[in-house]
Amino acid sequence: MRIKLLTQRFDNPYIIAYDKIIKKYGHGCTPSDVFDAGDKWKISIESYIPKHIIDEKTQREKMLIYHYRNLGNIFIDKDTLHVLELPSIKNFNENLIDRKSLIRNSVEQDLVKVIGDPRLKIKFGKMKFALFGMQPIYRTIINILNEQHPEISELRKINYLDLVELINKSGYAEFVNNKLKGTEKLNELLKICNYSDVETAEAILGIMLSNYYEYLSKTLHIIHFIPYIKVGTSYYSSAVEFGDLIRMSLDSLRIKVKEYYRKNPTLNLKKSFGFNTLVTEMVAAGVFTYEENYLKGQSEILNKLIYIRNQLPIKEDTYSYMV
Amino acid sequence: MISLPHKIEAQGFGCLIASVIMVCMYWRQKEPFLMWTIDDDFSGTNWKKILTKGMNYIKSGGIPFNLINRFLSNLDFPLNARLEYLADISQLNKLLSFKIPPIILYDRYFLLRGIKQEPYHAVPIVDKTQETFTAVDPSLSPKFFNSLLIQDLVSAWAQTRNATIIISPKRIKLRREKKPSTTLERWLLSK
Repeated sequence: MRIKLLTQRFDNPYIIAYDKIIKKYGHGCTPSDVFDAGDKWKISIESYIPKHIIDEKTQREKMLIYHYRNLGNIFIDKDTLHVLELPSIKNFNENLIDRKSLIRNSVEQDLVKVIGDPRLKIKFGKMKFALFGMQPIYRTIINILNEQHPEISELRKINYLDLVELINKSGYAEFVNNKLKGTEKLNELLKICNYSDVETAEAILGIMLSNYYEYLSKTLHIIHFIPYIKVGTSYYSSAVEFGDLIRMSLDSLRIKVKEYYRKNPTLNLKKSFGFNTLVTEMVAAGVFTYEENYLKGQSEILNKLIYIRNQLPIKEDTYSYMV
Repeated sequence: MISLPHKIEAQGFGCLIASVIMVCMYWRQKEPFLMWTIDDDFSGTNWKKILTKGMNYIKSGGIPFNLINRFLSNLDFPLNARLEYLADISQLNKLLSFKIPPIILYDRYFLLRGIKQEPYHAVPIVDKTQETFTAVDPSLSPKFFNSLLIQDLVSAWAQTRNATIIISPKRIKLRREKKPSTTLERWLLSK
């Protein structure tokens, strides 16, 4: 059987670029404006990426579209309308991933700032794996509050000094006659934490995380808290975009983390194996709660994140609508 | 009206792969004597596996069309997929008259609100009336059927330069006849 179809002629640079883009990079990508670049046309590539968010309990859904501009350029010869140059798939994907990770990193940092606020009373001690890397801070604070003041040489010997310096920089402790002592600021925090040494040490962990997140993870290579931040970011980024505390099952959250951190080698099988423990500890710490069988965030955290988001200039266009 | 034997729910970029698989299922049912390597139990595990496999073809920017052909040939289906930029709506009618369900790519948001936002939405067209086309929309589960006003669809479909994916048995030969050319000067003036 033969069927004759009337199709469009490839007689302008836009359709030629569109055809290349859709065949090579994906059906969410399109050309943007066509620019005159001397003897050739220059066409930049843009992408529309959908994100579907659902409150699994109420089945309310929202579709969010991210619009990424300038992901690469296509050059087309003016005389022959042949494609002269276009980005490799690898380069294009890297550009897109970079742009996505910029947004992701800013959400991560916002979340760390918010949960680090001692008034939220997040129990960082319950997140055992995170505590592992931050033990020097936790133990030092407990010791100071129990009137045991370590000397610089002692701290240096047990490799605690780098992290203890961060406590000093934040003004919660200082060296007096070579011994580490708590400051008035630490006493005020102790008061806020109902004179509990454990709660105060946990609050200090949160403050250190929120103040020195980048430094701790990238310079000191203390990465134990990163899986918790990733799980938290995956949930709260969706909740902020939805504008409400959505409820999702453990499995959905697991999928969301994988999608959100796609192509990131740090989310490996080992971490995915420990996912249930991770979430259970985050519930105990107060980052999440359970509503029936669904995970749900904390309203104080969400409200603060929405407040921060509203203060920032949005770098990528986003559109949303309920479906 | 073309009756698709099984409807698949999908959101976001998944709509294209769901549409492709729904059309494959249609051909599996309509042309059972072709060299199929899969059964016709559309709710069975084999087709579910294919859907999962298909979803893996979704890349950061959606599904590149080149991968749809690779997907079908990896499955060893006796079907061909082509991406065509049809001249106008009458070409969809033509395909429907040959009982071929075309998958159109259009901007759903543009259709609803007149703003470019979703130029990737894919649906198979299964029927036509005087004023509407009927699509099986994977994002509209459990209803699936969506009536698209032709008048609105024309501009929403134009956002993708009337991009249409045609999946048909290999024995069906499609021949392109190119619409008369627009001069570059006229195209620049129309911009």
